[in-house]
Amino acid sequence: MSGVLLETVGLSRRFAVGRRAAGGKRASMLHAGDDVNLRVHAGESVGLVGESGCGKSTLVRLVSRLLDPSEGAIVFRERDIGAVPAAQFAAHPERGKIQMVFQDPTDSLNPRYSAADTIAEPMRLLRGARGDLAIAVRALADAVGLAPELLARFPHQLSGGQKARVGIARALASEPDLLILDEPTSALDVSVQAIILQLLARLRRERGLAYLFVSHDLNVVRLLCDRVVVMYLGRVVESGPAAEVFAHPRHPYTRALVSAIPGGTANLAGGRIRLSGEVRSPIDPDPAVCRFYGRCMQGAPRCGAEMPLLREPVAGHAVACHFDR
Amino acid sequence: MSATLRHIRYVLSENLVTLGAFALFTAFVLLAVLGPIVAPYDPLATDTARAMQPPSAAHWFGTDALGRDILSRIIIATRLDFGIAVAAVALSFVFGIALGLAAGFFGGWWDRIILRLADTIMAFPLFVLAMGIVAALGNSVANIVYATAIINLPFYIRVARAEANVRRNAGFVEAARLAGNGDWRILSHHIFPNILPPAMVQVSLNMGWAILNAAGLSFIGLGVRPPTPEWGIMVAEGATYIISGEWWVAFFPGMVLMLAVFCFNLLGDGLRDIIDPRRRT
Ligand SMILES: Nc1ncnc2c1ncn2[C@@H]1O[C@H](COP(=O)(O)OP(=O)(O)OP(=O)(O)O)[C@@H](O)[C@H]1O
Ligand code: SF4
Ligand SMILES: [Mg+2]
Repeated sequence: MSGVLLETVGLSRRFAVGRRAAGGKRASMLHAGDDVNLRVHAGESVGLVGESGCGKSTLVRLVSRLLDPSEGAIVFRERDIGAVPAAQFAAHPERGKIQMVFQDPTDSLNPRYSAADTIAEPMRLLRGARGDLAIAVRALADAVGLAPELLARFPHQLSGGQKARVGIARALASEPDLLILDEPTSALDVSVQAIILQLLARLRRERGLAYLFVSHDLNVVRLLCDRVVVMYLGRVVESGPAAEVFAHPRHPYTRALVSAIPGGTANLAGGRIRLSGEVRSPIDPDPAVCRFYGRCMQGAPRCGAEMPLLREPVAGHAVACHFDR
Repeated sequence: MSATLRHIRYVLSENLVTLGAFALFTAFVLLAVLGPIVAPYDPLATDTARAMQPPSAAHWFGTDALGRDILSRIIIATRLDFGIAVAAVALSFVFGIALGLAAGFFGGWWDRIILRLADTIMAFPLFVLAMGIVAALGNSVANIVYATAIINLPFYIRVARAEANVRRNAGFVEAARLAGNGDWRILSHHIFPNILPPAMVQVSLNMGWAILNAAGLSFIGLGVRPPTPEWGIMVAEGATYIISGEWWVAFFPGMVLMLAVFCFNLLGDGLRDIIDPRRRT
């Protein structure tokens, strides 16, 4: 684990929502990502967890340059790539170095491209490969466990697991350093999920890739990731080595998440924590209130008056809470 | 390639109506190409001695008021009527799809201007607009083609715009960006091939309308002029004799016109099946 591969600094993304409020000058803003500082080292696997709608996909779409940030910088291999508009990033020299595996393998494949076409395209466009790429495509198909006779097929002729393999092969075709995986198995059959996860773990080992891995499934993150980043309503609330975060979660939200892992509550005093109370709205949130306030079992008046900032009480393990343990 | 042919054969054998439409279409194309060779008589040769003869062994479709063989005139007219329709539809396909793609994909000002253009054309009764265009530009075959192309433009703009709009945010378009595709390549390689099926259906429907439109313009005296054989003119010329009992003069060209429109409409569904890869097994 050498140098820093990816770093985001104060990364934010807001979406204008609804009509302009009556009399108000500005439209309401949904804060999908707020002041996110994220770091991925070369060859490291970082898990991104949090409940639905907390902004995981938004964050990885920012990093993979499909979406433009509202504020903040994205530094990849010491270059600020956040300033390049997403629409022009296809021609950027770093395009091939950050790739992504999409959540829905069916939706993310062009119905009129054969598997071989799909895998060959990034080789041509991003690595300048010319001529017949059959051998290179076969080699890559082999690496992801896709039988060569499937390469001529179109997406509708492939199973979910096979489509997932095509998507992974496409992402690897430009020889990336960072692979972003946005819930890569959630659209698959349970029986296929484990196989694809094993494949991903093996590919990372073999190729020394860095992963930014989004998942709902904390067990998977624990198994696959070196470090874990926990998000809540657009903000990072805790980050640290996976083993440590799962064994000693510091943030109340992380504790609730960890306590809910099936068969994983043994190391937490008090058993499963059930959250109650309203989730705060991500639309025009009060900058002086903790986003978790109201649902938090430890909430105190200070939480409604001051936003907790991310601190590092222990080196490498950061938490954003006034009353962390 | 042979897989494609096999697929076409599969779709046709599964759908007899489409097969019939294809056969009819092939027959029309052959007539358009081979017209002068297969026509039994000179379509322009008049002979008052054999005027207004009902269908017989010598003249299957009868003769008209000038003694011209109606069958020969119908056959010769195929090339002109199909030529106008193909040229017009090709023009509206190319321009309509390009404009619609730009509107649906880029949105914003592009979208507003192009949509306004389509709405403006659609605001007119289309046949009246075509009449106006030919009357203004002058009575020539080229102008019939332009007029027909213009009135068909909005249909292509709408099809392409709607499809591009939906697909702009499709997962495979985002994935294509990651694979290094810029805007233009995404449009040409990823979105365009996927809007071909609905566009081809539109083409087939439009061919029928285009033929009807060209014939309609000639029928009312705009466009192609006598004595050129053309289905619309022939129907117009024959219409006056229907009351007096000489039905065949208008009936046969009318039937052929109807058959051509019918053929293209049926073809639309068949084409969609052939082009759609999801139907491939
Ligand atoms: N294009 C958009 N316009 C408006 N709001 C958006 C847009 N994209 C995302 N959002 C909002 O941003 C927030 C974060 O969405 P995001 O998809 O990043 O969540 P997520 O953590 O990936 O959720 P899930 O686990 O369900 O995939 C949500 O409230 C969502 O409604
Ligand atoms: S700051 Fe307060 S409300 Fe927020 S997580 Fe900590 S204790 Fe809970
Ligand atoms: Mg998501």
